[in-house]
Amino acid sequence: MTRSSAFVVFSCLAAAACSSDTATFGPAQSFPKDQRPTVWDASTKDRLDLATMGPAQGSQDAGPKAWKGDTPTGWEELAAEPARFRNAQWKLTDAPGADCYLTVGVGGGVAGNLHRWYVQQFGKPSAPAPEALPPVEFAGRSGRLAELTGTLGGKAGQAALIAFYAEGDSVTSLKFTGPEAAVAGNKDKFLALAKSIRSAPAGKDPQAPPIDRNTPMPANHPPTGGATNQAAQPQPQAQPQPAAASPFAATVPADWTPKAGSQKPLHHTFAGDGEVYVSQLGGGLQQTLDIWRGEMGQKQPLTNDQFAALPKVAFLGEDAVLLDLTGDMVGMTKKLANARLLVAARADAGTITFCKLVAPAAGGEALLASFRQFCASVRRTQ
Amino acid sequence: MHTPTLLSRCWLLLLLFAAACSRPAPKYDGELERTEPWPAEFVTAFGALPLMHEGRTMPFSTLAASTLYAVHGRRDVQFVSAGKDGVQTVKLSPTEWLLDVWCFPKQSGRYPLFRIENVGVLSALGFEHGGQKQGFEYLSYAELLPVGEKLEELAEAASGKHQSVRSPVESHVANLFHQLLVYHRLHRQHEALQGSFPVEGEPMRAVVGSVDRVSLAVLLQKSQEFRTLVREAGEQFEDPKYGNLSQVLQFVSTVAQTPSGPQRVPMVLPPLLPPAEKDAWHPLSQVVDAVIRGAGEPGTKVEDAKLRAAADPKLVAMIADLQAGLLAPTMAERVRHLDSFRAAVVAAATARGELGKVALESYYYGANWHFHAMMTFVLAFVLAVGACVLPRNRILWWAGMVTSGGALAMLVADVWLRCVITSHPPIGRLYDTFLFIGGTGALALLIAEAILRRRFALVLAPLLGALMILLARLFEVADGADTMRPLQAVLLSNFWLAVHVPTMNLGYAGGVAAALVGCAWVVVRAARIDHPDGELAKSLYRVNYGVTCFGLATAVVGTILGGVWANDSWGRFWGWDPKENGAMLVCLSQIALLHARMCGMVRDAGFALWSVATGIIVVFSWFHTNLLGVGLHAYGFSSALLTGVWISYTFLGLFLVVGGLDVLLRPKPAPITRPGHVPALPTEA
Amino acid sequence: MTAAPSTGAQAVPHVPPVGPGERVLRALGSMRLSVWLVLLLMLQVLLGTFAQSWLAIQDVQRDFFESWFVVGELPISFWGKPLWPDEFNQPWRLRIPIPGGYPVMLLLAVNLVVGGLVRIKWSARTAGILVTHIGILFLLVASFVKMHFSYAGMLGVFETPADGNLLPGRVYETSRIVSSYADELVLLVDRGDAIEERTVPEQQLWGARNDGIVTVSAEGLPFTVQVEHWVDHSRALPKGPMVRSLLPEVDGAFLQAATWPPGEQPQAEQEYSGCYVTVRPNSGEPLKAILRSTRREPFESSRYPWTFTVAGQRYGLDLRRVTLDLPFKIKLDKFQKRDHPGTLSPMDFRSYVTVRDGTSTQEAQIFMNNPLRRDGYVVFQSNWGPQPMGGPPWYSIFEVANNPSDLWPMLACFVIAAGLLLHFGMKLRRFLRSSAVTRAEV
Repeated sequence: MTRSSAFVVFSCLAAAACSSDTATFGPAQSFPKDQRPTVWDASTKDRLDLATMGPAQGSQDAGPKAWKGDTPTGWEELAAEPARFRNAQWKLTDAPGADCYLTVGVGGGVAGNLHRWYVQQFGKPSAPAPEALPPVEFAGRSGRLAELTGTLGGKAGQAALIAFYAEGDSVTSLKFTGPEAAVAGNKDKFLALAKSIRSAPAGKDPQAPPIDRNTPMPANHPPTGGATNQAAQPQPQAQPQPAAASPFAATVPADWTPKAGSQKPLHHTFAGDGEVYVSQLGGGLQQTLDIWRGEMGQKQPLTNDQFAALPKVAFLGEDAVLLDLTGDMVGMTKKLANARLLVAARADAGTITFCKLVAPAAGGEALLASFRQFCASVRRTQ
Repeated sequence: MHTPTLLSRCWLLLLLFAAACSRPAPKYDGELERTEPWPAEFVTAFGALPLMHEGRTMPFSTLAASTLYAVHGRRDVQFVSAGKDGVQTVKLSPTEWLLDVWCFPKQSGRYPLFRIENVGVLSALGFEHGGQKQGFEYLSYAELLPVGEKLEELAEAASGKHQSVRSPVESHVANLFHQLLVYHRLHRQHEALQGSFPVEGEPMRAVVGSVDRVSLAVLLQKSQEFRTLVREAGEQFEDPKYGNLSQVLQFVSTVAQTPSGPQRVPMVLPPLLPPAEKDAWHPLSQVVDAVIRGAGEPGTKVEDAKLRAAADPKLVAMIADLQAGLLAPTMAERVRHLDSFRAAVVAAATARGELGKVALESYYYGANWHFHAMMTFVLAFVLAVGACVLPRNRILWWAGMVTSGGALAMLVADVWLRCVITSHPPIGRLYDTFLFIGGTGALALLIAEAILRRRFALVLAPLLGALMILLARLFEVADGADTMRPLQAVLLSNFWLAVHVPTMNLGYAGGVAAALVGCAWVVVRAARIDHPDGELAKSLYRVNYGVTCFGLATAVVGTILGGVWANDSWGRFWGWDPKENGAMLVCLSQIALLHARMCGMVRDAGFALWSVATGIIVVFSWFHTNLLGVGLHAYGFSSALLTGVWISYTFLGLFLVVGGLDVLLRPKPAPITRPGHVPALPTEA
Repeated sequence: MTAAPSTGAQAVPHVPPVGPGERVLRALGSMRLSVWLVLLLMLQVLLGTFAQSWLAIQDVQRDFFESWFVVGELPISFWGKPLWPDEFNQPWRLRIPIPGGYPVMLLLAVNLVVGGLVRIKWSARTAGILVTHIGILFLLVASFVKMHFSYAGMLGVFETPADGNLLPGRVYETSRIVSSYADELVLLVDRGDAIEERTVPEQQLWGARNDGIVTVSAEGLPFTVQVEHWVDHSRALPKGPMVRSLLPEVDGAFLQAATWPPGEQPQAEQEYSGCYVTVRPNSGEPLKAILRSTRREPFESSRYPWTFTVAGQRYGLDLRRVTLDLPFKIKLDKFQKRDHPGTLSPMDFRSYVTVRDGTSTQEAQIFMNNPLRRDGYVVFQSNWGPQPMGGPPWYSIFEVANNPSDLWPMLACFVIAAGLLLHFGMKLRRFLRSSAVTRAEV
C-alpha cells in the first residue's frame, strides 16, 4: 500500500509543467476604437511611464531650465546631473558625506515620496501626513519640511532635511543628507538655500521673482471676523502650482499698471482702488464662488440652479463663469465700500483658475467690457 | 501522596515570584502641590465625565486608565514622597492621576511614571545610575523632557531596524519615546487654560476690565469687545499704544489654530448640535477660533452652522468653568467648578444621546465583573482541588461546580455589558478573544464534568477561565489601548461579527481546552497519578476526544464562514492570508488527528501529545500570525505579545517533550496500587 | 468515527488475494494516506505563510498553492530572534522541498472520494461522515471551478463632478476591468475605426525569465515576436551616464528587477512585470522595445502601446494586466466616506453608482460587505482615493469577480455544518448512553 501511494505521489510530481519556448497569439478580437482608447506612437518615456521616475515632462517642453540657489558659505556648488535627478547640487566643504541636491518634478505624489523617504530610505514604520510637517519657504512657495534621523543606506547616525512642494502628482524637493551633526549644524544654511532656490528658462533673467500663490497671512495676523470655509483653505496636496516663471500672459488695457512687488500673476491696479489679478485655488468652484459672494455681503449660498444660470465669459480659451456683484466688500485683506467685484473662474483638474477684479462701482459698463476683453486675452505661457 | 508536595512547591514558587515582584515604591522629589486628597465621591463622579477620544465617546476614567496603562504599564501610580509632613506613600487611581495631570501640571510632571527596565537606556540618555543590572527605575516627565530630543533620535534610529533584530535597549528606547509622546500630548492639552496672561495698555484694559492679568476664558467672554479693538487697530496692532495686543493676538491665534486631520488629544467640549449634524466633539482650539471670529454673532457672515454653533456662549461658559477649576486655589473651589463643568458637559451629552453608553461604561469599569469572575474561578479551583484530595466528599464537588458556574455567570455578564456598550457582538478586538475563549472553554469543560464526574474537568475549567481572564488583564495593560476602540469599516458588519468570529473562536477554545486536557494527561501519566489504562487517564482521553471533536466542528465551520464573509467583502473566498492560513492549520491538525486515531496511527498517548501540538498551532494562529511580516509596527507593546507567544510555545513544548520522553522511556508503566486511589465520584444514592 | 472504513491495516480479514487495481484503489482510499496528505498540506500552508514575509502574496500563491513542486523555506528563529542572520538580519532559512498545492489537493480529493465516499460503509452511523465528506468535496470542487473558470479584475472610476466638467483622459464611466496581478501580451492591429487584439497570457511567456527566449507567432502575421528578459517585478529606468544596468538599454531606457525590504510586501509600483521584445519581420530589420505592464486607471483611460509598422500596417505591442469587458458600464455618481469622529479611520465608505447596459439603467450603493450582484458578476467596494486625505476629486476602486461557484462555499458550509452536527451529535448521544457515563453515576 505504501509503495503504491508513493508511486502515485511521484508520478504527480513528475507531471510538473515544463515551460516551452514558443507561444501563439490567441484569436483576433475586434473592438470599436472608443472601447480601447489608444495612444499610438507614444514615446518610450510616456509608454513606460518614466515620468514617474524621471524629470517632469514640463521641464523638457519649456527647454532646459537652470536652477539656482544662493550657495551658503562653506558650501560648494557642483554641476547639475539631471540624469541622476539632481537639477542642482551642493556639497559641504568641511563635512564629507553630506550633500544636498535639488530634484525637480519627480512623480509619485506627496504621499508616495514621503513613503519613499520615511519608510524605504530611513526604514520608519510609516510616513507622516504632509499636513503634519512644518511649513517651509522653498523656491518661492510654501512647501513642507521633512526632518529625518536614523539609518540611511546602512549607515547609522544619518539625518536628512527635505524641503518639498508638489505640483499635482510631481514633487520637487531639496534634500540634504549626511551625518547627523553636519545636518543639524547646517540647518539654517539649508533653510536659507531652500528659500533662495529659483529657476528661469535658460538665457532669461535668472532674478525673475518667484511666485507664491498662497499669500500667507502674517504669522501674528488676527483671525478676522469674516466668512471662512474649509474649501478656501489651500490644500497642500491637491493644489497644482505653476512653474516658477509667470504662467500667464495677457493683453493689458493701457490705463492698468502692474502692481509693484506683487507675487500674483498679472496683478494690476487702476483708477485708484481698482485691482485685478489671475490666480489659482484648490477646492470646489461653487463653494469658492460662495466665499467671494460672502465677501460682498451675499450670505445665501448659490443654489445649483443659480450656479448653472451664471453668465459665461471667455477666459483662457474656454468659457468660464462670470460673477458680477456690487456692494460693500469685506475681504480677508481688503475692504472697499460700494465696490464691484468681477470674477471669471473655471475649474479644471481640481484647481480653480480665476481672474478677479475689484474696483469702485462707478466704473459702469466700461469696466465690464474691459474685464471681458482682458479675460479673453489671458493665455498660459507654457 | 503527591498532591501536597506538589501544592507546597507551587506555593513556594508563588511566594518567590511575589517577592521578586514586590519593590519599594519609587520616590517623588520635591513638595507636593496638592496637599489634600481628591474627595472620593468627586473622583467617582468626575470619572464618569463623558469626552471624545479616538473616535468614540468614553468616560474620563477609561481615558485615564488606558493612557496610564500605555505610559506606566501599571494599574495605579504609587510613590513615596518626603515632604514637610514627613514621608508618605501616595497611591493614585488612574482617574486621580489624570485629574492631577489636568489640575497640577507641575506636580504630575514629576510623578515617577516611565518605567526603565534596562540601565543601558539610562546610559544612552545620559542619566547616572548605580550600574546594577537587576530591577528597574522610574523616570518622570520632567526628567525625560530635557532629553526628549536625544530620545527621539535614538528611537528613530531604533525604529529603522526590523523589530526582530533590535537590541533590548533599542526596543526599550523606541517604546519609551512612544510613551513620552502619548503623555506629552496629554500633559499639554490644557496648557492654554493653565495660566493667565498680563494685560498692558489702556485699550486692552478697557476690553477686559481693569485687571492686570486675564485668562483665556475671560477673553472669550469679552470676545466682541476684543474684536472691535482688533478692527480698530487694523494694521497698527503692533503700535505701542495698544500695549501687548500683538502678543495677545499671537497667543490667541496659536491656540485657535485647529489642526486639520485627526485629533490626538481628547476632545472635552460637546457640540450643541445633534450628532447627525456634528459628530466629532470640539477641541478647545475650534471653540476659541469660532468665538474670536465672532461666528456666533448675528452681524457676522458665517454660513457654516457648525462654526456658528461652536461659538455658543454655553461652550464659553464650560471653558470658563473648566479653567476656573484648573486654576482654583482650594480643593473645595476646584471641585465646585469642575462639578459645574461636568454638569454642563453631561447635559449637552445627554441632549446628544451620548450619555447612556458612557454611563454604562463607567459602571462597567467600576463593577469590574471579569475581575470578580477571575477571583471566583480561583476559589472554584481551590474547591475543585479539595474535591480531588477528598474524593468522597460530594459537597466539595457541588461547591466547585456552583462556584465555577457563578464565575462563569459573572464573566458572561461582563461580556454582555461590553456588547451593549460597543453595540456589536462579543468579539471585535484581540482583547475580547481572551474573555470569550476563557468563558466558552470553561463552559465546555464544566459540561464534560457534569457528564463524566471525574473531577479533573472541574479542576481544569476554573483554571482555564482564571488563566484567560488573567491573560486578558495582562494584555490590557501591556497593550495600553482602549479595549473598546472603534472597529475598522470592514468589521462593522454585525451579522458576520456575530456568526463567523465567535464560531472561529469556539474552535480556538476547543483547541486550547483540548491542549489543556492533553497537558493534564501528560502530568497524570508522568507523575504517576494514574496508570494510562486507569479510569482517570481514560476519562481524560475521552474528554480530550470530545473537546477536540467540538473544536474541529466549530473551527471548520468558522473557517469556511470566514471565507464566505471574505467572498462577500473582498470578492475572494480564500486569499492565503496568514490569519486564514492559521485557522486552516488548526482545522487540518484536528482533522489529521481524528483520522489518525480512527485508523490506529495514534492511541491515547499520541492523541494527548498531538492535542498539545494543536494547542501550539492555535497559539500560532491566534496571535503569531498577527505578528508576522507586513504591517508589523515597532511602537507599542507588540514585543510583549511576541514574548507571550514564545512563553506559550515553550510551556506547551515542555509538556510535549516531557510527555514524549515519558512515553518513549516508559512505554508500559507498572500498575498503580494506592489506597486513596478512587476512580470515580461516589454515586448519588 | 469508530465505524472505520475497511481500509489500511485493519482491512477485512476474509478477503481473497486482491489484484493490482484493487491494491491501488485501496491505497488511494486509505486513511493513512489522508493523514499524511493533510500533514503535508499543513507543512505547505505553514511554509507558504512564512514565505509571505519575503515574497509578494500572489507569488506565494503561484509558487506554493498553484504549483506541482516547491522548495519551501522555514526561517529559523527563537523567541523572536533570528538565528544565523544574513546581512539584512533575516534568519537563516531551512530549505524543504515539498510537493505543491496541485498534487496534494488532487490526491486529497481522490482519497476523499475513494476512501471517504466509495469504500466507506454506508450506514446510519456513517451518515454524518458521508454528508461532511460530500460537503468538503463540494468545497474542493468549488475551489477548482473558481481556479479555472472564474476571473476577477479591478475597475477604477472617478466621481463624476457635479458641474459635469469632465477632465479628458480620466475614467468616469467604464466597462473595462483589469486583473489585479495577471498580465498578458497583446498585439494590437490598427484597423481604422476598430482595433483588433490578439493576446498571450503571461504564463506562456514565463519561459523568457532569466536567459530564456519565447517566440510568439500567429498564422498570417508577417512577423514573429521574440520575448526576452521577463522580469516579474520590474522597474523601468531612464539610462543615464551614471547608471549601470544589467539588462540592455533600448531607446534610452532599461529594465531592472525591483527589490523591497525584507519583511515587507512590494509596493504597488513594484508589482508590474516587464520584458524586452524583438519584432522580426519576414523581411527587413528587427525592431526592439521594452514593455512594462504599468497600470493607469482611473487617472488615464488610454493605453500607450509600442507602435511599429510592418508592410504598411500599423501594429502595437502592449504588456498589460489581463483586460476584460463587462456587459455593463459603471459610473460613480458619488463617493462618500465617513470617519470615526475626530479621526481619519473610516467608519464607512460607499459608492453610489449607476450601472448601464444597452437597455437598462440601475442605481446602486456599493460598500463593504454589500457588493452589487448583476449578470453573473459581483462588484465589491475595494479601495478609494486619493489616500490618505481623500478628495475631491474622489475615486473608487471596485473589485469585479465572475465566479460560477460564487455561492457554492456557503452551501458547502451548510452541508458540512449539518454533517458534523449529525455525526458528533450522534456520537455524543451514544456516548451519553454508554457505560462510561452510567458507571460513573452508579
